[in-house]
Amino acid sequence: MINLVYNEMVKITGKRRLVVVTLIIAILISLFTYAQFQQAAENRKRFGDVDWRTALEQRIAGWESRLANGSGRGDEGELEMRIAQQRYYLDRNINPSEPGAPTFVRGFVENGITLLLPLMMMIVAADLVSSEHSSGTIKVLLTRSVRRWRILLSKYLALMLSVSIIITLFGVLSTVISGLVFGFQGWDAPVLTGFTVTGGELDTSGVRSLPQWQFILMELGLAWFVSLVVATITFMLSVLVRTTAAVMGIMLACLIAGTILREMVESWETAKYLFMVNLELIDYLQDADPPIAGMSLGFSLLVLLVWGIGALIVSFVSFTRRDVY
Amino acid sequence: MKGNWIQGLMAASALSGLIWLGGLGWTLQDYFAGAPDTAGTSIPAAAEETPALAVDDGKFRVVALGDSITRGAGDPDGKGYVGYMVEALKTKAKDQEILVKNYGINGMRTPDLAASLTEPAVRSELKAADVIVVSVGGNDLFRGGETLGNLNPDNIASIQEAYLVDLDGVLKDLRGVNPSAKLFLIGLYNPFIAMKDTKTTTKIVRDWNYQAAETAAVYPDTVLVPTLDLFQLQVQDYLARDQFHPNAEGYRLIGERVASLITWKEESE
Amino acid sequence: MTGLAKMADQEEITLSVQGLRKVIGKREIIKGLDFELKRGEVFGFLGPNGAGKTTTIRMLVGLIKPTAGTIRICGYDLHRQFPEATGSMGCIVENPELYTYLSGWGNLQYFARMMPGINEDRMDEVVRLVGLSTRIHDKVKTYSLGMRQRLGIAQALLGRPKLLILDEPTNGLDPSGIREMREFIRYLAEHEGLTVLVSSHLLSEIQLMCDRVAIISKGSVIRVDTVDNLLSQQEKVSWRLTPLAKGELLLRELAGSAEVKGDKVLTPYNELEIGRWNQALVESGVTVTEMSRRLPSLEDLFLELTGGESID
Repeated sequence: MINLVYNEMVKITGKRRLVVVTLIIAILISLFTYAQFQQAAENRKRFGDVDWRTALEQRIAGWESRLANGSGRGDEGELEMRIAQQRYYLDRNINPSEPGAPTFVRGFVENGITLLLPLMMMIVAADLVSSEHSSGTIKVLLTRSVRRWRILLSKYLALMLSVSIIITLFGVLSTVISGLVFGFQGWDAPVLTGFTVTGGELDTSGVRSLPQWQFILMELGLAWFVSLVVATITFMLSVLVRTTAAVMGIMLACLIAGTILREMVESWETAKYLFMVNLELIDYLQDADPPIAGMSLGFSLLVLLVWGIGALIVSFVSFTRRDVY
Repeated sequence: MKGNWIQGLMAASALSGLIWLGGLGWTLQDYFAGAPDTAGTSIPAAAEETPALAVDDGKFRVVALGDSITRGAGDPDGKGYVGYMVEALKTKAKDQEILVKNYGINGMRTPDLAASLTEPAVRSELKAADVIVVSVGGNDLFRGGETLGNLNPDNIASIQEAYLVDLDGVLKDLRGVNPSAKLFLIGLYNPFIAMKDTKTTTKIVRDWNYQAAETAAVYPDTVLVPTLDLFQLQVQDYLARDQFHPNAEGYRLIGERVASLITWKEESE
Repeated sequence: MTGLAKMADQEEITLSVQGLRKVIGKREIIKGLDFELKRGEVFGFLGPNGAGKTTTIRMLVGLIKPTAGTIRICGYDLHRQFPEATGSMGCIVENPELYTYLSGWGNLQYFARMMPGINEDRMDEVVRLVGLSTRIHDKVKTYSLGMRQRLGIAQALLGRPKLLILDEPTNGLDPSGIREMREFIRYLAEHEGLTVLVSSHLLSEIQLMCDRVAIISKGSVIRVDTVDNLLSQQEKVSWRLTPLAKGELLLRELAGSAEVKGDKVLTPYNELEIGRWNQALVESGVTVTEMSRRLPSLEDLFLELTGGESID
């Protein structure tokens, strides 16, 4: 089996897929780093005269007074953590609006999880099987003395490996590129998490702070999961549809429909069972409303898992049964 | 040579796969196991907040109910108009001890407020209150921005109708709990006065306030405090960065206006 | 030399097909094929396009699942013992499609990794065998069709198969390439003891390279026989001789058979012998006034058997 997986990796690297993905990611990260750098410069120009340290101190003082006079009903825990969070910046002399690489990475993963990363997975997964059809090599592949399910499994394992390495590249590249511009400070800055939504209201009772590096690790873990599911669904399409372009088209339509659906149809409740509406896993860790009521991290993970397993079953059944012409 | 390279890549990929799986596991563990842990600590904290109240201890009690305006959203210091009102009251009567309970919740609408009034802790506070300030209706009208996209009179009328019914219910309830406290209902201002459709939006807010005042007029010691005028001329100076909530200065204006309506005579008697 | 002789020597069966059927939708594409291939023979699979050649070949190599029937390769059931069955088979289906972004050597490495017990020596061996040594490290996309074909054969031979299945192996090759391929296939059968199944719609090709032929039309095999047998009925030389009776007697002796038709004598055609026969006739005082080769071939036979169905 390891030989088969090795073969698939030879093909993926032979087609320079990983190089393409790496380049796209690197270029985008450079772009966003530059954009953020510009924004920071702009902000400094506009609010330049305000010393961020005094602004921060005022903010903390405000929160402390709220804590002291008891006007923060039920939010005491959150307030304390926000104060601790801002204190961290103050103590380490980091301007919170011009943070270092870790904060950039955190934001970038958050934004990349719904579209950018799935698209990258699509590039690798889309032609994994369909290209064998269009180039005719499926005939050489399936007349080997290897059962079909083993061939497909090797392809899937190679895909899993590629997904993993792309997430790693994503993390490493964004750290290095943004770090060169913003510096590498702030790995243990506290990040607030643990928000839950109960009865339509944000429940802050479970809020706690995590060091930023742990939060990034958790984010990338979620991004990995999302990417894997998207890759699996693309993989299924690649088995079912014979041309790579069609696979890409369908997948692109799904992903873009997902971003639109998330924005628009909070009234269409059954949409929450679609995989593309459930990609924004990281938002559940932060204080954001779910796009549709009744969605939670557990729910979204479950929906994605079911889709992934379903896609895998369809792929294997179709691939092992189908006649090749 | 190339073979070794790919083997290395595979090993690195497998390793990263394990790391990210670990990250996912950590997230799940943190999200599902972490939450009840801290929730457990917050329950006793909530319990401390509802002590039995001694009503006649000579302290002046203010209970603030309502939305983000009561909460103080947009004020960097987080005081809100309630904070500035109390400050103003303290300068008026230096010896008087003033207790404030702020139940403001961002995004609260009138039905939410009605529901929150059923909480025993809130009721006991209300019962003991000398002054009750309420800011509610902004979210009913604004609907997170939805209303801005549909300013047609029928839509507004139906929203307003529902609000007035709810408001009446709230006022009735409040008056039932505490018939003697002074009740101040904070009127709406128009944060969009500097934007297009200003004539329409201002008219809507003006009418809204008028109808609310009509509703409030049925109940004794119930005053609608206008704020529309405060923001009418220099709205930009009084709005926070979100262009919706008041900033510190805006809150100060509202707070001082409410404070000016509170008289001490009856209290000191 | 002839297929018949070889069949007598070795009766080992490398491919056996029994009751093979394929139904797609309601249409029966293949209507029950039975045939067997013996070790060391080159077996031609001949039929017009649409006769079911390609479908049959694809069922033989495991790309299409038969609706009914069994395929055994070296005794292994293709369906139940897929790895063992395909392990003793090498094939090229239609054009040799390979990974063009890899080198020829990279392709062979790729295939070697999918079979047990293939080392670099074996890879070198097949590369030498197909004569690709000089270009094997170039990317396949730079190869000509002939080179790709050779690389295709190299990959098919890599696993030391007992059965080689080639679907239209000379498609797209130039005349010299076709001859080369033909010689190579004969070489494999005669010197390496491979059984080769060749499908083609080119009769001349089959005629020159195969020992036995199956003629397939509309999903059924209409005839399986040795090329010699099939042709012996068809390919004749007609002689105009005086005196006729003496000449006929002499020819019957020389050529094995002879029949009188009108004022001519018909004998089987034998390219090597025919000069000698002529000489013998002349020497014994028979005048040969006309000697013409009738050029019937599988084409004629085919047309006869299929009732005029065009081959292309």
